[in-house]
Amino acid sequence: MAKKDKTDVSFMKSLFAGVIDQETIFPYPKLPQDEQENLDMILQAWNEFAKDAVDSPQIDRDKKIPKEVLQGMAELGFFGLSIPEQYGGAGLSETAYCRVFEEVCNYDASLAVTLGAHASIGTNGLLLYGTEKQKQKYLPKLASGEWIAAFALTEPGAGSDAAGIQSKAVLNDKKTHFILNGGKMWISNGSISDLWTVFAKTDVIEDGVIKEKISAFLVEAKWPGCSAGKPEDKFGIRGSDTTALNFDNVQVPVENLLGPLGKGFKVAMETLNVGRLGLAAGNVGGCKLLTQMAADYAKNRKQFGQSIAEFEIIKDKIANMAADAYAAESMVYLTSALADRHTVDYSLESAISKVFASEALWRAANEAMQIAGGNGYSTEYPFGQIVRDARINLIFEGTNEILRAFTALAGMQGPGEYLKKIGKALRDPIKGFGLLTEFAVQKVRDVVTKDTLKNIAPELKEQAERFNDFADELQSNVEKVLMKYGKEIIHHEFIQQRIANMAIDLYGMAAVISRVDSKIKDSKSVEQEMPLVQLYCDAAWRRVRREARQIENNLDKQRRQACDLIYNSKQIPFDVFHE
Amino acid sequence: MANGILVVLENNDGKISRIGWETLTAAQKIGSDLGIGVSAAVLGKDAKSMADSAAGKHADAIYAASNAALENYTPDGYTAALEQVIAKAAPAYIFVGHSYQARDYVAKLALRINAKIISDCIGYKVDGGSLMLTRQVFAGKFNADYSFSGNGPYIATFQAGAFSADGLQPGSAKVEEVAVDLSGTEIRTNVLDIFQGVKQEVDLSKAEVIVSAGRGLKEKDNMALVEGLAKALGGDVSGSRPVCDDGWLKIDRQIGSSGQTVSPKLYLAVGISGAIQHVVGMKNSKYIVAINKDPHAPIFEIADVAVVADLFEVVPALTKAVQEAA
Amino acid sequence: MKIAILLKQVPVKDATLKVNGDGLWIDEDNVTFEINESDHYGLEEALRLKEKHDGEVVVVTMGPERVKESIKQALAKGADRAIHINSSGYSNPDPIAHAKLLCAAIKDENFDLILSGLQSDDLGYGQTGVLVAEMLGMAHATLVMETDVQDGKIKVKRELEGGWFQSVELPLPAVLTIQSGLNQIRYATIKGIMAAKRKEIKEIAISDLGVSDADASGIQMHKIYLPVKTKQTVVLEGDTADIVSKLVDKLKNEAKVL
Ligand SMILES: Cc1cc2nc3c(=O)[nH]c(=O)nc-3n(C[C@H](O)[C@H](O)[C@H](O)COP(=O)(O)OP(=O)(O)OC[C@H]3O[C@@H](n4cnc5c(N)ncnc54)[C@H](O)[C@@H]3O)c2cc1C
Ligand SMILES: Cc1cc2nc3c(=O)[nH]c(=O)nc-3n(C[C@H](O)[C@H](O)[C@H](O)COP(=O)(O)OP(=O)(O)OC[C@H]3O[C@@H](n4cnc5c(N)ncnc54)[C@H](O)[C@@H]3O)c2cc1C
Repeated sequence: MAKKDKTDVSFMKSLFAGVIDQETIFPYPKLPQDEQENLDMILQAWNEFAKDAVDSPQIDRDKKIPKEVLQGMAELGFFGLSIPEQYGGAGLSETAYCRVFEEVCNYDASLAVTLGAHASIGTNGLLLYGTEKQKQKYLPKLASGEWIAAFALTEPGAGSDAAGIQSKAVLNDKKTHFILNGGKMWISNGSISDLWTVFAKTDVIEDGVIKEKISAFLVEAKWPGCSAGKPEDKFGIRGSDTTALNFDNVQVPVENLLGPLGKGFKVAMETLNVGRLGLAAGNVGGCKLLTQMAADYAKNRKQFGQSIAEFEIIKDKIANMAADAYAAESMVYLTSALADRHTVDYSLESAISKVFASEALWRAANEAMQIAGGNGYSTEYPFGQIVRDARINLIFEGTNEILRAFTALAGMQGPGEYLKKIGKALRDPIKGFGLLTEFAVQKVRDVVTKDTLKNIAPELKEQAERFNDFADELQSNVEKVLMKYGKEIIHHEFIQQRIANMAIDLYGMAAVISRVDSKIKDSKSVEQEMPLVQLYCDAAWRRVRREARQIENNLDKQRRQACDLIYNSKQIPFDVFHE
Repeated sequence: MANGILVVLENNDGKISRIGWETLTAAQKIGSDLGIGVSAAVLGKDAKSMADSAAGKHADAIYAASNAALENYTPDGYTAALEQVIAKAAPAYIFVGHSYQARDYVAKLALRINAKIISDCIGYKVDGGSLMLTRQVFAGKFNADYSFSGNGPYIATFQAGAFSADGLQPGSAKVEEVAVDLSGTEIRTNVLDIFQGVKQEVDLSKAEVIVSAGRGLKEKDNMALVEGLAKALGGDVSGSRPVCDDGWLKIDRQIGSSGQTVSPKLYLAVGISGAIQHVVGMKNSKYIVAINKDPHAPIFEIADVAVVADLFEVVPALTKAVQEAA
Repeated sequence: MKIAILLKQVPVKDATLKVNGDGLWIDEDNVTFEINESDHYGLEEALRLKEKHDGEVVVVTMGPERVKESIKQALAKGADRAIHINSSGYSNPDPIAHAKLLCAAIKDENFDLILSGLQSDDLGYGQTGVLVAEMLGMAHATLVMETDVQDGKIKVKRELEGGWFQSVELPLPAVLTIQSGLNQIRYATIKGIMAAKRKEIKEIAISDLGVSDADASGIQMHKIYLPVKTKQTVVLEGDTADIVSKLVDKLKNEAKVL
């Protein structure tokens, strides 16, 4: 994986500043033919294998993935999907990885989470930040599936607030080992894994002062002092192993420090950028599958003398599911191609894709269950398990709340040296405020007139115009709220959420428009997807408009009051019978 | 000089096999339509008695080619022996039943005698004195008409069951012994043993109701669907070959040319395409229902009731309805 | 041991096929193709023999450009290289002509063993392996269900009719035609798939094979058509509940099994 400094500015970060960086996302990316052929063969091999070997209801009932399934996947090479060939992996691009992951999800979500925790978040830290020696030592074992990996960030006291972890690694006197103590929580593959990427606080000397900063370590599960708890009994993805980890004076050799000392948080965040995209891809697969399942069920179920598929309230659901799936797919594979360029910052796009796709999946699971009526609620039908399995996606690898806040704040920090300048700006309110507003205003001045998508196929005229209008709205609202709140914006989550929601749908529209426009320019018919495009874009811009309007004109005060009311009473303070 | 049709009567353990008689029937019909004579040949260690058993059929001659080296079938032995019989009979056409044995040597024979070959025919037409043969293509999804071109001899092989031996014309044929000399023939295959495969534990030939599963069931887990239906109907379960090969069902429940032959009151084929090798094992069933989502599935050609639908919808509903009806 | 597998590409089993305009082939638009079933088992057997006795497995395929996909799949499963006789624009229905072309492409390779499927799921002649054996002067066995190579010889189990088998021994080099189901076909591994692109696919045009009578045919195909039904068949389709109620009625009153 060529790791260059990210030099190209993120599409979404530019959009926050009113700049439509069309070249970054047009034309819609396509895999080179030979990679496409490889991918098709991998999918075929997977389907042949999975059809025979994977029994999802069984995995759910047993709360365990059979050994033979994992072993079979290892033999096929699925544990080394994105590990470069020189280390025994398949060296798939992020795009191909996502597509394969999508197909794994279609068979079983527990299996997908197990694979993702290994191949994506479990391995990516090492891939991105490992030294040659570390890679040679661990990657071949991980690629072959001889070893399984896990990513250990979350702690009992630090979930969303990942920077608040308490595990601590202290360099010994001889400076040969870090002594690691602490514990982790909710670690996927916890008890079945061999190599953990562990995040812990370390002492770093900065400007002559000792500061506590997070560092990442490669920890072997077999080392003395390492232990895993017993698997959590979960609501969904029950076959995926999730445990606590405990570190009791674990001696971690200094050569197992991953990335620079004190840069562990960055390692974690970059790893999660990739991980989220894989999750989103899995969710796309789920959305497509559910849409199909719901339609099949509806076509076969008769009520009032006809198939329920003919009723328009059911059609409304199916059409929305299909349009959502189409948009989610457009977003994910646009983003994966950005990741494959290795020079573009795609952290926002990845977070947006995860939020949109996981929520689209959740809606789809809910609607599919509804369409199946009583049967949907029966364990004899698959819908219940899908609902349970789908739910986790809104929680892990960054809850959707945290990712919305991230999207808004990182977006508002503007392109450029966001980590450095703006990071400081947010921490240093007074100076920072100047910086933030200065940046935004300067950018707007640069643009002079409203930026627009250029050269879009006439079929997409309406969608493109809406996109242009609301991209402009995003920029002006960002400017407005920065002017109004300055550094205080970090405390205004009502606003953040609205800005994030605008960004999410604008990215969705951009991705869909790029996809269809590119297809038209390839002289291909887009007749069949146009209704999906129109449905999604129409719903999207209406949502964006609503969010934009509410930035100024809202009931946030009432929301705060309602919460005060609830928070301040021991019991729900209303009861119609005692008023 | 070309001389009518020569039929190779297959020797099945010292007796002429059914497909041999079927092919002779085909030759009689085609010969009469083409206005040419029919003769036949039978090969074996001692072919005379078999030839005698054909003497009562309508044919010009029955050639008995005996040689110790023909005790066991081998492609080298049979090809060399037939080459000599054919040299003597000089037929225009050579007809062979498309048996497993014929699959093994007929193409080789064709090259030896520089013949043209059309294999696995199921019917014919004679049009303006020329012979048009019909055979299945694309695994039975279509038929295709073929004819020979250029100089003969012409070899055609006929599918088992394509002609019924009931139509065999009686007559009297002279039996002629042909001395075949295989001394110069190197027989490269050495037959070590002939044996029966797995012991048949289930005999489906007496079953009244059979629900038979094909590859359309997609995976082993779905076998429960057919099992449920069979149970509701009080019948047995059988399957097509791939279903047994893949271990979804025990091999002794396979129906077809390499499995059992059955004729129940009801044969319900679920997700079976109807390849000839399957059909030969069940086409004499009294009542055939086939469930297949492909409206052109060959199984429908022999079905009394063709259910064109997704088996995953119909089978559970049918099982329920049968349970309620019972 | 140097092994060839003659491998053909045919429409997938549950493809919905239509006859094309000239009535001599199917309309290939929207049809997906796969490795012919018994050839696929043949490939697996070749790979297993190689794993046991060392050597090389060479895929030999005749067909238009699209067959590259099946070739790559075979390479991904572990075949070492491939010979592709590109037959785009060539349409001769005669299996003898096909065998001549295959022989011309492989005769200088001196294979110890040539495997083929027992018959193809498109034209279904079931002759290719036997013809190739005779043309190259090799011994052969058809309907093979088991193989066992031992010094210069090969012992095979052949399927006979009605559940019987035969065990025969033949000298190498030999040609075997493989019956489906004799082994369990492996899945392609990702490594295999990635390695496949580095393997040689030698492409030969028909005109470069030096077969002067490649276009000659002893047989002529006139047309392909849907079979005409001979039996009275009642067709039930459409609504599941409707189908089921009619069917139950028939099971009661016609089949008389309820
Ligand atoms: C099945 C499963 C597998 C997991 N696998 C792994 C793994 O492999 N490795 C790993 O390191 N972790 C893993 N996790 C942990 C997961 O990432 C965390 O659960 C997640 O980040 C949320 O943290 P928390 O559970 O502590 O919730 P909290 O942080 O306590 O959050 C509770 C709620 O508060 C909200 N919230 C918190 N802060 C804010 C804020 N600032 N603004 C608005 N809302 C806020 C959250 O969105 C959430 O809705 C896994 C979790 C589960 C359930
Ligand atoms: C020498 C030789 C001997 C053989 N011996 C035998 C034998 O003894 N017995 C035997 O059975 N075969 C035998 N075969 C194999 C035979 O040629 C066929 O390959 C086999 O019968 C096909 O099995 P099938 O119909 O189950 O599968 P397929 O041909 O794959 O057919 C599956 C069918 O299921 C249908 N389908 C798929 N999904 C659905 C759905 N959801 N709902 C409804 N329908 C669906 C498809 O339309 C298709 O028609 C032999 C072959 C040879 C060459």
